[in-house]
Amino acid sequence: MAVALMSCDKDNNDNNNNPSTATTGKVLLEFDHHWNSTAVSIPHSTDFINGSGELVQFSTFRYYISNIELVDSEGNTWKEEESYHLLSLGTNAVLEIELDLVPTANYVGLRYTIGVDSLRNVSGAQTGALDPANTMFWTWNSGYIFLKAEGLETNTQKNFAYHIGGFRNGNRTNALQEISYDFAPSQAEVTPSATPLIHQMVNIKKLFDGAAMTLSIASSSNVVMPGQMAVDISRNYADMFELHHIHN
Amino acid sequence: MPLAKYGVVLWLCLIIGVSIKCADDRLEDSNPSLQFYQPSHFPQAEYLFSNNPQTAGITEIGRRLFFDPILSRDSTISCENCHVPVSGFADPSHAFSHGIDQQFGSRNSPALSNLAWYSSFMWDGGIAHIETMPSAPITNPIEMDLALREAVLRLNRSTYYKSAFARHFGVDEIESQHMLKAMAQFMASLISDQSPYDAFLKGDKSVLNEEEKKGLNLFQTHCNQCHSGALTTDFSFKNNGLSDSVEDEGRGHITTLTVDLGKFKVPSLRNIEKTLPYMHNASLQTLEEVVEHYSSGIQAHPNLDPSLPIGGFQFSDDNKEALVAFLKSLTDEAYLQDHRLRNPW
Repeated sequence: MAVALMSCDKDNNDNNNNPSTATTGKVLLEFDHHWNSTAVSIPHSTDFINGSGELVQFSTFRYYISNIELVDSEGNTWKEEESYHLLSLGTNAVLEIELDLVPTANYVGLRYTIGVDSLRNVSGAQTGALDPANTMFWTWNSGYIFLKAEGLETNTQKNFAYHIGGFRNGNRTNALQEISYDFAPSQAEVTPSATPLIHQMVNIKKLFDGAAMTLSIASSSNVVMPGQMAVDISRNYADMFELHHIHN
Repeated sequence: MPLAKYGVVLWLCLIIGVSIKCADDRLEDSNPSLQFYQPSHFPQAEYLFSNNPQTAGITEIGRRLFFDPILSRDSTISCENCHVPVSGFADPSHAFSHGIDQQFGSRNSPALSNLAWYSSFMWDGGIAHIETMPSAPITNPIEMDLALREAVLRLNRSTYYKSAFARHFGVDEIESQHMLKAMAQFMASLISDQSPYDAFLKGDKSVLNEEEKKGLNLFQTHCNQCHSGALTTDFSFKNNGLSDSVEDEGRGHITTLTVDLGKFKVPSLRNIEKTLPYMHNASLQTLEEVVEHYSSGIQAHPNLDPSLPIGGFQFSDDNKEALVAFLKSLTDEAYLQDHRLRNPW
């Protein structure tokens, strides 16, 4: 027992004294999609009822998570390189992002952006998650669609389409939203052999009934360009994300 | 004997080699392979091919894509349909952009030249980068109406493109990024810098006749605030009083700002003699009509540019003729006749 403890201390000391030989591990971010307490996958057989009493059937729910950063207990920030992820809700309610080459440390906070930063919006033809062929890109007003939600109000048979984005002109059309979590009292302990899992609940109902506004399909079934309405909806959906627990 | 012969040949080669070297230098000066360059009398270009180093092979793929109907849904039209090289890459035969299925857009196809100097594209400046520019007309339902995913599938099925992209990009699978970068290399190489006005700007004052010089003076007094510099545009968005109401939101559609409603990009006037019809709404057919608009037709739009007087500048007939004469000195025959900018298929 004593030997094991000494061994642990020795390892810690080595890491502190020789940061250049620091090892890395992985972190798993989980996005668990819900409508209040009901898991959401697409397609779904039962309609969801929003705050305006409308029956919501989703056909598409996709969004960008980008510029992911972890803050460790020493106050150091680790930034994922080329950090652009497109999450597309399908038959599994839980979507994952695996962060690799994360330096061994105890992490106490997480930050990321919903959307795509302004610089990358104007940096030419992109690939991977940002490939414009993913149809998350406005070709006529170049810029990424940060979140795309489409579907049907089944009572009125009215289609809805929310293509939310915009990065220009300060707050008027800037729909970039940052999410930031303080893990306290938990920590995410990254070692070469232990991959902590950061589990988030994503309550999609907040898209309609969020902090900024009540969005009703009857009055606004199509919001497909940057502007004040898109900014308000982005403030709504920023409210979807909630840290549930960290599993080490 | 054969050895001696070879010796002579060898000497000849050395001599000829020297002159070939000289010839190479001359060829480089006249830019024989289609390639971007920075004309000395132009401002610094905006697009510098970072992350997209230019090669002759990739530029040629871009040229082929530009002229290839494969990028329209029904394979009937290419970029050339609205951007005709001999017309300064404008469309002289349609007021509004002409898409597949006989559909028409709501604005006139802009002339194309010196695109590497632009930081925004289209009449409303909605597009922020030359590499993403082609994705707009390709995907627009009333233009070429082809999803990028489908465009890429088609290129991957094409023997020519498959091997050309493999050879010049080193990729097995063509992605939209490769297509867009190749098109950007061609588009950024569309350089018009050989008009009489260019020669004048570079110091040859004799190239313009007296009437053209008179027109230039009037141009510098009344037009040059916006149509400034060698590129004859300051790249800003203005309302020029074509109408007293907002018939097309223009720049305001992009920025959502009331002060931008009815504003459009100040177009370059290069090759203007050939790029009819004029204005975003194609409402003017001749250079005389354009000058007449600024002379007597400027209407009181809420966002009218303050440098333009309501009612117009009231040019004399002589001055109108001089302005038209000057505008024709912006015609760059070398650009209009350049076979490297023509359909290679």
